Amino acid sequence: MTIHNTILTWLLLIPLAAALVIFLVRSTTFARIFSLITSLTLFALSLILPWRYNSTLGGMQFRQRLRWIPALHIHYSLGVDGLGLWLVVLTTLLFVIALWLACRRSAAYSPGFYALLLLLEAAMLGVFTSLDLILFYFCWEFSLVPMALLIGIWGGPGRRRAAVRFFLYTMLGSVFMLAAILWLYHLTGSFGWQTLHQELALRAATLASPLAASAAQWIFIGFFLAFAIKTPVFPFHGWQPEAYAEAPDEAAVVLAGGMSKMGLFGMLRYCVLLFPFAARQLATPILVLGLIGIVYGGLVAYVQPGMKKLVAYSSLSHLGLIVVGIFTFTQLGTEGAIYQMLSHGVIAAGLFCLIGMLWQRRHSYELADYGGVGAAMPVFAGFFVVVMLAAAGLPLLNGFVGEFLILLGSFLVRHGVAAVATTGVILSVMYLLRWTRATLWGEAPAAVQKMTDIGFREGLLLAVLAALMLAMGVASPWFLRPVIPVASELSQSSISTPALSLNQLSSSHAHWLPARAGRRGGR
Amino acid sequence: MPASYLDYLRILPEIILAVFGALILMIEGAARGGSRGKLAGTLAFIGSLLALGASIYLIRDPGPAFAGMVSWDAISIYFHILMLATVVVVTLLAMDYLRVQEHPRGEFYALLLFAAVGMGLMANSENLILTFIGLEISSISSYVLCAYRRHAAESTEAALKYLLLGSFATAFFLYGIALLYGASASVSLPAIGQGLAGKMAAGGLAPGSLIPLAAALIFVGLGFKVSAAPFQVWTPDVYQGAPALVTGFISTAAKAAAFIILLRVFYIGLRGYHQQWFWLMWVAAILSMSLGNIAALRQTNLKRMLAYSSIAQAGYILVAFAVIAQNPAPTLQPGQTADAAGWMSGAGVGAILFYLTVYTAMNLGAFAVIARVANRGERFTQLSDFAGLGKRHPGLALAMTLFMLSLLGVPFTGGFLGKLYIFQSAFQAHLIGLAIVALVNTVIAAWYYLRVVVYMYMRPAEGELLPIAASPAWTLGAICCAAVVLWLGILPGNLLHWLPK
Repeated sequence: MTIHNTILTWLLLIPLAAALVIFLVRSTTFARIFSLITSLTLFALSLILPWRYNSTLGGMQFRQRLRWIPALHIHYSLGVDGLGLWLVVLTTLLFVIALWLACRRSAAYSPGFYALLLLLEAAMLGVFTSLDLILFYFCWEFSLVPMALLIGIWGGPGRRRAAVRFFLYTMLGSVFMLAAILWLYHLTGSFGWQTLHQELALRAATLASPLAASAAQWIFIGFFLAFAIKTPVFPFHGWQPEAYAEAPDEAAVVLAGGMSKMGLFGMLRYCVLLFPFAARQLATPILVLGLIGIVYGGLVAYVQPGMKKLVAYSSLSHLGLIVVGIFTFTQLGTEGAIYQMLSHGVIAAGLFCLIGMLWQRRHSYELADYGGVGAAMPVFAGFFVVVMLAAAGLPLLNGFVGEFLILLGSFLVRHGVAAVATTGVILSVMYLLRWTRATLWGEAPAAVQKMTDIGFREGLLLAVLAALMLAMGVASPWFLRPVIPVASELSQSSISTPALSLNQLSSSHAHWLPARAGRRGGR
Repeated sequence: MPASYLDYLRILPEIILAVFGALILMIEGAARGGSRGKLAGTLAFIGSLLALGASIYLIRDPGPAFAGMVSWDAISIYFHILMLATVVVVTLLAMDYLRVQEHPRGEFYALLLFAAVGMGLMANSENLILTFIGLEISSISSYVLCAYRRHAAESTEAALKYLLLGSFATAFFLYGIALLYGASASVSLPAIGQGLAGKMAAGGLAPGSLIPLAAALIFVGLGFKVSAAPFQVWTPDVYQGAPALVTGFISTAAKAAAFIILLRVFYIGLRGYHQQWFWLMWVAAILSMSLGNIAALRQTNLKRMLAYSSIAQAGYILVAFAVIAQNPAPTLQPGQTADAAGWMSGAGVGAILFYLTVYTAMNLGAFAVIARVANRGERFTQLSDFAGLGKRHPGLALAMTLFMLSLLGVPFTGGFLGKLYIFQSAFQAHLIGLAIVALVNTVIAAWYYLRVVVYMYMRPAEGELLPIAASPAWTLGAICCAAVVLWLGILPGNLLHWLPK
């Protein structure tokens, strides 16, 4: 048993154990410090993954597999590929941010708050690392409980409704996924992701006993519904604005930054990799939903009076773009989608940190209550602008890379899709600039004039985030290296010829990124 | 054939329970003063624990007894352990409950043990007459237990309703037995099974014969006992009116016993007719799940809400019965016991037994919490009484949350794995439509289970509760329930290993 086999288990066990300790000790001060230390440890531990991951080899690594419930053929099976490992790192980072943010409002939170956050962390890490469909479902479904409690107990005035809605909406999606998992088991006799992956690919390749196209489609839809609700994708976003708006800021960081990625991760890992045919057959309606989400989200975000709902709708728009990147099936687009998932995680976390800091001083989320913050809080305003620009997709910052790759990739395959998707970029500039103007400039109300600038603790948090945005903006090839194998499988496992040929075309267009051109030559 | 030592050994748990029950009644009459109730409780605890020990000891010694009237086979062993463990826990919980309610204690324990005797006989029996006697023993004890809150009109009403409708249902059951006897000339389940199979093979049995009618009548009788729709109307009133702990007991152990008879009668006796009774189970499953869950949405009284919830839970178990009906039944050779023919190998049987175990733990646990919060005279059973419980009594609220989440079917609780097991077997049996109805029902159910959690943690307290004093016996009982729920949710391997695959 080397660290290679057990690291993922440690990542799951440490937060669970820490949550238990916090629950037993029942001291708020202890909980605050202990949870922060735990999250930092986990973040440090998770950095081993990108460090030790063998990008040339690709595939699932750091694997561990134990018998768990033999009677039902359920295994405790963990592993990450290039996609999973970055999401693990993102998750641990988000929890550091959330718990760092939680330091300031210690009086408001009981130990239960910290224990629930750590439980949530364990569940989310389980989602990103499990290789057994039932273990995945366990973690997926369990993650609802701590999040719903966090929203419902410590949230805003409409918290109860938001929490119940969040729970029921997501659970409705989950049961369709459970049905899909059980049906798949009925057809193949396995819950193991890798077994299924090989088995389904083999059946498709040899046409020995291919899954009936309709069955594959229905199973795909079952999975997709769960993921589309979780993400959310356009018509399934009913729970989202409320949940984002009512969640306490710390939980909102995780909800917007991390939990939305659970849905996208599921689409990539389960929908596209397991059912490449069905994914391509159903790509058009999904693209349409993604595009509607981009435009609708952007337009609604533009007219939002409250900051949190603004972020909610802007997320809808950004996540729609990622869906477009996934379902256009090009190497560039898929890499862009994965990159944008990470970027959006960091940016959404940054946005909610900013919102939280404003709320801390003004106790309002309404744009109308602000104005002239730039004069009162110059340092804060500087970071505010950086985060806004990253969200708007300014080159050199992280938002740009993913957006550009997605748009480029989709343009190579479907011009129309790319054209509509590009409006999302314009819309995002519109609503983000409107937000910036309404907050930073203009006449400062008396309450705003009294606001004090951020101190060291908050400044450090924002500085780290800003530095990360810049790093992800300029060093994208480094981040993308482990992603390339899985992205190529995601986009090329298609047998349908048009996508394949255009895909090769897309590779030839790729030399604009010098660092990647070399590697591509070797592939 | 005279009864031998082995015959008595195989009903040893029942003998122990009956002896202790009688002992309690005698002591109750003889003893004086305040120690009376305590003594009765201790005796009941020891008696049920001994019976449990006897059942575990007898695992090694399965076989028929009393010329095939009783069958101490895997399923009755399993049920005995489950039911007796429930009785032990109920005894622990009752020590606290009866003291707080200031009810007379002795009779309660005696009735509890007698009810357990009846349930044990029901589950053991391969003879329909003995089944009927067991059913009656347990039912009559339950009727009296329901009326135990003598001064509350709703308790009396509950008992009367339960008695009248219960007798009616038993009459249906008896009539079904009579018709079955008429068709097969036997009251022994294996003999009925063989006789009918033989007649069917000889072509002597027309499809429109007595058998479907007998099956339907028996199903009515047992459907009443397990509160499956459309025979569920009595459930809400009785569960609400009866003392909370009694509700906890009759909604778990008594229901499980009725499910065991249902399994024996239909799977052994009527296995040749599985295509016909499949539809009985299918319709009852869908109706129970949907009616139970939809009606529960509107409830404000927690006991009543859990009554509807238990109707829905019975529906999930009936899904597994439909699965059993889909599998071709094994043929029984003359003289073979059910075990030997491997009838436990049916895919749904394991799911039923597992779910019954989980359901017993979580439902009893929920009623244990309700009984404690309800306090003297059961004044606090409204949902609004639970508002703010998370702040007032964090431990109680946490336990209730666990039981609600398990009933809802959240992963890492037994409720989830139980449902997973049932749904998986339904998919394996091609009952995809039924499984999807069940899955959608779990979402409907989520709303009202979640509401309890929302009230406990997300609403401020309204009004005052009476102080809840610490009680080690209650705590131990509740911890047992919670531990089983978690054990079966996280590491159910050892139990599942036991169950038929």
